[in-house]
Amino acid sequence: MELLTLNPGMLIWLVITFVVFAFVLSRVAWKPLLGAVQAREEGIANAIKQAEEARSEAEKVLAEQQAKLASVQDEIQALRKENKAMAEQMKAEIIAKAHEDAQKLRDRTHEELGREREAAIAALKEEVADLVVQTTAKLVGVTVDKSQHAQLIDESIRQFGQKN
Amino acid sequence: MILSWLSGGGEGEHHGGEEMTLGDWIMHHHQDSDAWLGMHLPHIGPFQVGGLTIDMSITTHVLMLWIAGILLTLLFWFKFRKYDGNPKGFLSGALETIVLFIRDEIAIPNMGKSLGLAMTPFLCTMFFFILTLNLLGLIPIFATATGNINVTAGMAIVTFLLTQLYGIKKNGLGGYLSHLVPSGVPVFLLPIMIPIEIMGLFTKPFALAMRLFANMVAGHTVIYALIGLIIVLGHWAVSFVSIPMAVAINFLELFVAFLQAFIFTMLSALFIGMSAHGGH
Repeated sequence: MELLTLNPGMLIWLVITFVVFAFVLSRVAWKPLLGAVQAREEGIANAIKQAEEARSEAEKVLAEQQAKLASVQDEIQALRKENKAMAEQMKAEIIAKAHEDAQKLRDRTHEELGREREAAIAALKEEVADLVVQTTAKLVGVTVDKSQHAQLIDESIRQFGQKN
Repeated sequence: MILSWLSGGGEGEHHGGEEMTLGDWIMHHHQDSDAWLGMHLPHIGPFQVGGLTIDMSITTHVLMLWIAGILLTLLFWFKFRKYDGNPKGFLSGALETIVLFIRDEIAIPNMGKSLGLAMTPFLCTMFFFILTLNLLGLIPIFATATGNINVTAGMAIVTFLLTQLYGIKKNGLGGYLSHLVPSGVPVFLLPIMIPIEIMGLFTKPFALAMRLFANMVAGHTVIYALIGLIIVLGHWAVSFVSIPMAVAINFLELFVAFLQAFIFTMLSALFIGMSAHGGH
């Protein structure tokens, strides 16, 4: 059982070596490694936290924008309705005015036509009277004075008018 | 045939004028020596301290401890000297993963957050030191320092001292002593319980040391015996059986090297955590 006998010198060497390398390794290896890893973990945790904050912020902004968009759309809808009503009204007014104008124009034309007709009739009457006087004078060979003339003319016109 | 080999009837070899059996060779292989690769290592001592004879000679196993320590230091120095938390390549990624495993799966669950973080460097040193010694033992020209009871006992003693230190630090000396016995034990059981608990203090590191030592010795014994079978049976054809088996055992040893380093570290963390938190 030689393998199982303890050798104090070897034990001491082990403890010395172990302590020395525990010290050296903690300086050379574990401190930089664990420090860097811890920094990395903190960085990741921070990044996650920031990302979450940014996301909630973005969600808030999005909700705000959506609400704003909805209100704007409502406004647009209202404006459109108003415009449409106004346009309808305007259209009706224009049409009515056009009708009125047309009516007026027609009336005036009608009136003028009437007046023209009357004037034409009067002129025709005068012409006819003159023609009648001349013809009569030629036929009769007598000159009738003016008053007789007028009387005769009126009579003949009346008769003419009655015949007609 | 095997029986005759086991009883020392194998083919003899001459060493120091004596006839050596295969069993002797295996024992010789496990033993420490004062030479490595033909170099003679310096003898220091022995010193007489009190009644104790202390031989501080540099032996092969001491040399292995130093080689392992220097290898580890160089490896981590090259890999993590200027570390930005961004593992480059397989090796630094793997090493970082192991270190983080020790921190997150061994240290913190067993010792709590603050003590766990404080003890992570110690546990990392322990794990990598044992692992490197175990792996060095698998390389032909090196010796297996963890197959030396002094090495495993030394590390168990370090764990034992830390266990007691943190126990006393946490509970005070009086509290530490009273915690030796589980609370709620009937008074008439105390004469039995106190010796058992005190024995328990020492059996824990003893088991720790023996487990690692025995695992390392056993694996190497099996490999050596399988290869020795070729000589014992005296026919070259035996090597077709025993070499593949030895290779298989070698792979098993590779696994055991990691496993035992893990177990040693894990139990050290557990013992320190138990005594630091007064739990039984």
